[in-house]
This record gives sequence, C-alpha cells and structure tokens, in this order.
Amino acid sequence: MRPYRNAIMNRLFVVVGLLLLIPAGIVLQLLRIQLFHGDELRKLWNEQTIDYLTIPARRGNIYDSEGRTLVTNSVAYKVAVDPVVMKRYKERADRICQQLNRHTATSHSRCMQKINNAPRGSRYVVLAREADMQAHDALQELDMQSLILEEQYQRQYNFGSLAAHALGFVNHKLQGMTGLEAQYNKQLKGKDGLRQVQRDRQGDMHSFVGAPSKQPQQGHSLYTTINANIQAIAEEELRNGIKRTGAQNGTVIIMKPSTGAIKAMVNIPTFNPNRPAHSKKENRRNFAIANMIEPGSTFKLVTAIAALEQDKVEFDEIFETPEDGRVKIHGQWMRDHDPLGTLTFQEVIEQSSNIATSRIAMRLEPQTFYQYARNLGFGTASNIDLPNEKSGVLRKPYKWSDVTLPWMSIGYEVQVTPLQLTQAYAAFANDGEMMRPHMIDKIVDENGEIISRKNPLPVRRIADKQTVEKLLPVFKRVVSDSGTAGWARIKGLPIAGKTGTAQKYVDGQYRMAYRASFVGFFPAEQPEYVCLVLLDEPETSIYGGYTAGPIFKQIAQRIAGLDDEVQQQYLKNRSDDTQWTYMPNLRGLPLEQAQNLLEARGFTYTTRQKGEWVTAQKPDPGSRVKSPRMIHLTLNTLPVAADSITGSADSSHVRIPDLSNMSMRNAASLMHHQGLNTRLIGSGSVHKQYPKPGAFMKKGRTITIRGKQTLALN
Amino acid sequence: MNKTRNLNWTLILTWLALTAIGLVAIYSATQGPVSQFLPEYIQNNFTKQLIWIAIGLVIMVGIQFLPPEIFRELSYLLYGLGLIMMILTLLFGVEVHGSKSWLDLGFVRFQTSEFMKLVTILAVAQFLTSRRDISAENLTYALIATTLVALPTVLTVMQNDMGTALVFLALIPILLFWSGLPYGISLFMISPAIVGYLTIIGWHWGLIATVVITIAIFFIQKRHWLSFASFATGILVLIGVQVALFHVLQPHQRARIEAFTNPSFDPQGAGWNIIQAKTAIGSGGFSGKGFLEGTQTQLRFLPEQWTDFIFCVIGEEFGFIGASIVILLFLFLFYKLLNIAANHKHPFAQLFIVGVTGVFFIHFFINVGSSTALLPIIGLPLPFISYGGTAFLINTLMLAICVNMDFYKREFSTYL
Repeated sequence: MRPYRNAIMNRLFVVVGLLLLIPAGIVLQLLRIQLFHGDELRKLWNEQTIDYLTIPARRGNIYDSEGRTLVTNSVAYKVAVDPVVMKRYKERADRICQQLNRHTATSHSRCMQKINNAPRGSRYVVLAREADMQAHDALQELDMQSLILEEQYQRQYNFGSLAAHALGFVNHKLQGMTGLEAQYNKQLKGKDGLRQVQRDRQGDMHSFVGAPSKQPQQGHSLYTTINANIQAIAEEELRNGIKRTGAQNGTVIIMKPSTGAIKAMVNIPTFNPNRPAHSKKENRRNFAIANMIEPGSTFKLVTAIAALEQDKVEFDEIFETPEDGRVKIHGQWMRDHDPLGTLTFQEVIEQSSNIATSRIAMRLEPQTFYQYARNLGFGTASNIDLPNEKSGVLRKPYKWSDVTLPWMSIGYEVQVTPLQLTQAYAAFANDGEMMRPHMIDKIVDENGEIISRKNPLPVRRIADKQTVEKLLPVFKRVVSDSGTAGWARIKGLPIAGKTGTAQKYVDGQYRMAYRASFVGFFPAEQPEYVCLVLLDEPETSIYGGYTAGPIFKQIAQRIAGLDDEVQQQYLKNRSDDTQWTYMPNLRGLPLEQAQNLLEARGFTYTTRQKGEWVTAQKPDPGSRVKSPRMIHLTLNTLPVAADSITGSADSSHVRIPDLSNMSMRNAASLMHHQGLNTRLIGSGSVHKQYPKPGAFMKKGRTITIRGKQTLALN
Repeated sequence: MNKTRNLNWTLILTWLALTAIGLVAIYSATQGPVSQFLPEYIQNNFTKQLIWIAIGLVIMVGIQFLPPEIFRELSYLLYGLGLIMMILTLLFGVEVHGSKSWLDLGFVRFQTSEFMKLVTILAVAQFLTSRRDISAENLTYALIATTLVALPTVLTVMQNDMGTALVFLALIPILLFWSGLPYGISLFMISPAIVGYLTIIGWHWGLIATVVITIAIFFIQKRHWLSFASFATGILVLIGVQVALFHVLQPHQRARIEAFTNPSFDPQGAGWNIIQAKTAIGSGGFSGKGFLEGTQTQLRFLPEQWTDFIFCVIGEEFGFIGASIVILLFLFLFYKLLNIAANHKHPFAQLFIVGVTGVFFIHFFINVGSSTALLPIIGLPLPFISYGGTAFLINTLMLAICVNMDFYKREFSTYL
C-alpha cells in the first residue's frame, strides 16, 4: 500500500502544480487586461459605446414692450426615411407619402420622387422638415421602423409679418440671420446641454438611467421697445397709404424722443419671418436702417438749427423769392415747388422754400454746416442694436463743390437713413438732447430674472434749448392749413414736423421720380412720439405733405387713441378748440377726397346709401358751421348727383369744388388729383378761383387759383 | 442523523456559491437592460436556469441516498447507453449553432455529450481499477482506456462539437496519468497540445517548446526512442500547424485563429468577439462597473454572454475582484475534489473524482481562457455558472457522485 500511496501523492502534487499554474496564468492575464491594458480598453469601450447627444437649448422668446409674445418656439418634426427599405417596400413609402401629403405641404409625388431619387447607398432621406404634431402622430401610427421622426424646435413668429424687419428671422439651424434675432443671437440661443448616451453594436443610441448630463442653459428672452399695437397701426396705415398713393414701397419709424426707444419700425413690402425663403430678398431688407436716401426738405432742420443758433437769421427776416419760383445758383437751377413770393423765416420752413433755405444756408461756413449735420447724427451710424445699419454719406467740406452747401441745405448731396432722420427729429423733439435709438428694453433669463437692462443713452446735445424752443413753433406751423403738411393736421393734437419731397438720384442722374416723406412728433409740447413716414415714388402726388402726411395723421390719431397721456391732451385741446368754419362743397367729389376735406376741418360724418361719390351734403356748402360736428353725406356709385345739375358729367369732366380757405398747396394737390392743372398766383390760402365752384371742367384744363396771405393764426 | 455531519459541506457550499454567482451573471446577461435586444426565448433562460437549479438540488440530495458501488456496477451499462444516445443524437439530433448535440425529448432538449462525459469517466475508472494488474503503466491497458475515451471523442467530432471533443481528448492524459502512466509518456501525450498552442502564437515558441519537452522527457524517462519520438512529434506538430493554418483549415476557422493572435486584424469580423471580450473585462477595471451597469454586456456587444462569455459579464460588472473570486472558488473546488480523491481509499473513486475534476478544470480553463484571450475562442460553458440545463445537471450529478463517494468512503473502501 505504501509505495502505491506515495505514487499517488506524487502524482497529486504534479496535478496540483498544473492546477495552480494555469489559473495563475489566467489571473496574470486578468491583471494584464484589467489593470495594465485597462485604460486602452476603456478608451476603446468609450469610443464604441459612449456618445454625447446635445440637448438643444430653447431659444429665448421676444416680447413687445407690453409683454406680448412676438416670437416663441414651437416643436416641429423632421421626417426622414431609410430609402433602401422604402424602395423595397413601395407600399410603405406610399403610405408615408400619403400622410405627409395630408398633413404637410409636401405633395405625394414630390415625396415619392425624393425617395426614388435617393442616392445609392444612402440610408437617410429627409422628406419634410417642419411636420407638426398632427403629422407626427399620424406618422407614428404607421409604426414603421425605417421612419425617422426627429423632434426639433422651430421659431414661431406669432404675428406673422408684424415687425418682421426688426425681429429678423432664423435659418434652419435656428441661428439668427437678421434683425434682433441676429443682433442678440448669442443671448437668445443659450447654451446646448449634453447627455451621455450609449451606442449598441448596431450604432443605435440609448439613454440610460443615471447617465451624466448637462442641462442646457435656455436662451434669454428679449423685451423689445416695440409696441405691437403701434407697430400694427403703423403697418396697416402704411399699407393703406401705399395702396392709396401707388407708391413702390414705404417706411415708418416711430420712436420715443425722450429715450430713443423704437416703438415701431415698418417697411412695406415686408415678409413673413416664419417662411423667409418664400419672400424676395429685397423685401427682407430693413430699409429703415439700411436704405440711404437723399432726404429732401426734411433736412432743412439742419439748416434751421445751424442758422438760428449761429445767429445768421432773424425770425422776422423777410426773404423775397423770384416771381417764377426759380433761381440759378452757381449755374444750377434751384426751384421751389410753387412760386412762393415774399416769405418770413418761419414761412420759409412752413412753405418749404428751397430758394430761401439755400440762401440762409449760404450764410454759414461749410465747416459749420457740416458740424451741425454731423451733430444731428448724419454721416454716422446711430448704433441702434440692429445689424446691417448704414451710416449714410455726409461728405467732408473739403470735398464739397460750390453747389454742395445750398443743395445740402435742402437735403440733396447727402445720404441719410430713415432712422438717422428720425433720430435727428427726436433730438429736436427732446429739447435738443439726442438719444441713441434702441430696440431692447431688457433681457431676462428663463426664470424672468433680468440679465441686463438697456438704459436710455444720451448721445449729445444737438443745439441749445433756446434754439429748439424758438424753432418748435416754426415746425408746428408746417402742420397747419397754411403749411406744407396741412394734410397731417389733427384738430386738438399739436404736431410739429416737416415734409420732404426729394427727387430720386438713380444711376448717376436725377429721375422724374420722387421720395415723399413726413417726419413729425406729437404732442408738440411734450413729445411722446416721433414718427417718420417715407414713401418711395408715390403716384398720386409727389409731395410729402399730401402723400406721407395723411399716413402720419392716421397713425398719430390712432396712437393718440391708444396712449392715455396723449389722448388726454388731445381730448382737452379738442374741446377747447371749437372753431367756426365754412362748409366746403363736397358734391361730386369722390368719397375719399370729401373725407380728407372734412377731416382737415375736423368734421366727422355719416353716410347714406352706398357708392364712392358724394352727391349731396348737409349742411349745405358755404354755410358757417362749428368745427366738430356731424356732416351727413349722400353717396352714389356714379359721380352724378341724383338731383344733378344737367350737363355732361362723364368721367372726362370734373366738378370744381370750393377751394376757398384751403391752403394753396392743398388746393393744388386736390386739383392735380382730379386731373386738372393749376396755375397758382400768390401764396397763402385760396382767395379766388376760376372757374367758380360747381362748374364742370374737362380734365387736363388749367384752373387758376389766386392766393392771399392771411394773418398768422397763432 | 449524525451522518449528515460527514457530508462534505464545504464542497456543497462552494457548489452553491458558484451556482449563485452564475444566477446573478445570467440575470445580468439576459434580464438587464440588454433584454430589449434579446429574443424572448433567451430572456427566458434565467427562469429556466432557476428550474434547472431546483432539479440540481434534488439530484444533489437524492444521490446521497445511493450506495456508491452502484456507480461502479452500472458504469459499463451506462457507457453503452451513452454511446447509443450519442449515435441517436447523430441521427435524430437537433442542430443548434452548427452542432448536432441535442436530443429532443419533447419536453426538453438533452445534450447527450454532457451525459457522455460522466459515463466515460465512470467507464474508464471502472476499467482501470477493475483489477489490481490493470494499470496505465501497462501501455496495452492504457490503449484500451484511451479507446474508451476516443469513441465518444469521435462521436462528438461527428456532432461538430469541437469544444466537447477537446474535453474528451484532454481527459485521456489526465485519467491515464493518474492511474500510473509514466511521467515521460504523459508529457509526451500532452506535448502536441503545448507545441501546437505555442506554434499558433509564434513558430519559434513552438520550436523552443519542442526542444524543452524533448530534453525533459529524456531526463525523466531516459529512453532515447521516446525522446526522439517526442522531438519528431514536436516538429511534426509545428509543421502541421503551419500547414493547417494556411492550407487545410477552412477560412472561417483560420480567421478565428488569426483573430486570436492578432485581433485587430479584422476587428469587425473574426476579431470582434475577442476584442469585445477583452474590452468588457478590461473596462471593468479593479472593482467593476456594478450590477447591470456593464455597458458591453447590457448593450449586447458580447456574443453568447449567458454561456460562453459569461466570465466577461462578471469581469465587466464586478471587475478584477469579482473575476478573482470566481477563479478562487474554482481553485478551491478543484483543491477540495483532489483532496477527497487523495484521501479516498478506493482507486475507482479516486480516478472518478480526478476525472470529474479534470472535466471541470478543462471547462474552466477553456472558458476563462477564451474570455481572457489566452486561448482562441472555443465555445464551452463555465461549469455551474453558465446557462445550460444539461450541462448544469450533469455537472451537478458528477459533483454529487463525488460528494457521495466521499460520504461513503469508509463503507466504499471495504468493498475493495
């Protein structure tokens, strides 16, 4: 037994030895893999299994000054398919396309085409980018694996094209392209978060519980200075005005002079920022800040301020303008719109005499004039918080020619942006203190905590307070019956402003095309709003007072109804301001004109029957009436009155209205509008007219109107 | 009642511990987040394993009531039965993953080669210990014993189950060595495996191994012909492996071996499993990623992670510590088994226990070796831990018989 046992024991030792050897090898290998090559393998493991998904940050909202949401986000779905699978199972593709056709703008055939034209080997074809929730649900119901629905934020502009130019738009990556979206892109977009996900061997991603993730920092929201109501009013009125005047395009800027806050910024035509690609590139341009124009008469503000402050002109100084209304300066003809006769300094502005203005300007040193223009903000960008602002062109005096100063004094040989013009008048309205225009009131984070607040920033003083105070009545007179902007007058609401009519300089020469503008502020004594109206190539009349003025008026009136402070002043003044006037003859006039005539006199009216022509009125023409009262008009579809005077009343003839007491300028506009030429003699308000009111006259004939200076009303 | 004290509780507890670890690993591999990638029948593996374990417990207890000599008496009968079942499997078996190893019994699929392992050990042990004069020292008897193992080996090869065939082959030297095969010849017998393995890694390693083994045999056995034969065999294996690698083996088999020596050669194909297995274990680090947290496991990067690559699951989720505990438990199991073999008086029991230990050991070595990139990937389950009904039951049965023989060692030795 003994040797046998020993043999067994020996063999046992060998076996145990082997037994220990191999596991020892295994443990060594384990150590090698887990501890020595661990990092390497962990890296490999990371590469193949760990991935990071961005959690997109929500882009901040944009609110108006009253807290209404202008821009927010909605969820949209990107619909994509695997074309390889789709080509194999045509009926699946067919069903997807049917749903897309039903719920999105993608047509069935286009959708099928996209699938069939997918490049070989491609496994991912986008069929629709902005499918909504309904489409998502419908597609989800199909329950197809090869259908990919990716959730993504989509920018939503709640009011469509409202304030489109100011707000701007975003591209498909939600990056701001223009407007506030671009200017404040960094603040709006926030910081994307990250989530760690795992990939399986097919490359599909899986989130897992407890995965490390970094929450996104949601974008900040902007509170703009824009008031959606005012913006909407301005847009509507500008749109109507453009339709009425046949202008190519137009711009309105409304600004609060005391702070520089932009209340509205309108360009027509506009675009829908929800679908920027569907509009012309030209429509997306923010003309209000990017259009450089020769301003025309509105620039006379510079001349007025400079001359007055430099004591180059006296208030009661008399200026004689030539009988034919034109004068040659350094070999170039300068004309007034009408021969204006003898004018005081006030009347120079009121009647917008180019000749007199240039004469005043030429008393100044070019350098001085340049300095004033510069001080008023021309030639430099206003630094509004919007991208792509142009700085305009204001050449330095040493580059000027002999005619530069006189022509610049009336708004030529200088290029300004509509915003610069608005800013200059705002400074004028703000007692000479120029504020930097701005769009943003405050920026808040997702919890509503204020991140930053834009305080009003004074830029500089443009003129002494006394100068401004002296000039204010002058610019108020512009908006009176005798001024060029009589059409902008609102009974009870004092307005100061200036009209502008500028010939367009296109391709190196002045064409017979005009820009009409009006820039004004109200209430004149404590201005709350500065408003610029600019029309490009109006057809009905070239004059700013006649085309842009009424638009201004409509806007101002509606804002007055909106703004409590303005409204109170307005109502107070109105009740004080009852006046006796003569009832104009409205018979045979188109309703629109009758309306203008009545409103200019502060009348309200009712109509009976339907049509575009006034056939009867009550009270009768010429009767003395108290200003705020109701006028009853009877309408007809034809210009011929039901009880009409016999005679030819076809469309080639017009009935001459009673022009008495209208300003010469308004009377002329009215006549031009009716298709008559005018011969104006003298200035002031209409004293006599030939032919007499009520007569019929063939279109194209000339009516003679004789004016008479009336005493200043106030 | 006092008798239960004599039961080898440590062995049973080790068995329970391994089974428990197996359950945890199978749970993680089939019920964790990974389950979303798995077909239902694989998800059910955990539940099925629970049933197998219940049956295994019954077997473990039930076997203890049998007298040990019954295994001796029934050994040839069972061997014959096993062979018949193997042939039936070959004829009517069910093919899974390319191997025709399963016999469909209607309610359950039975892997006959597992059963064959048990009965082969029984038969060889019975043969080599049936008479005093029979011993592997006598090469004729050794040859007969070898034939007893070779028969099922051939059958498993025919079933296309190379892993199990390898287990049978490896059993031959173990059983013969224990029953007295001379050291030199034993070494000679395993030398092709060693040389072959090293040749795959590098032909010069194979050459060095051939020389070292030849010298060792010369010093152990002092027989020139054996030394010469050893050297010749070594060189033949060396050349054979080289030829086989490039000319004989099917492309997919060669790819597997190439993947073993150089996994990055084809990381998406043949090298995939090795890379993923290493990555799983390697990324586990010292303490692992935690239960159900292993991304390699849970994201279905591991192939057959409930059976062949279960060690990777443990390595990834429980790290070096977890893997080491499993290895230590196995070592303890082997130690205890060899311990009871050494303390047993009856050579049949001794040889049987050694044979069982050998089977466990080969499974352990090949499975863990494959998982840790020590060996080319050979699909074999890890005893008690991997999922697999037949394997678990037969392994448990083998262990139960060992416990039984230890339990009755006093009574059993008297039969001698």
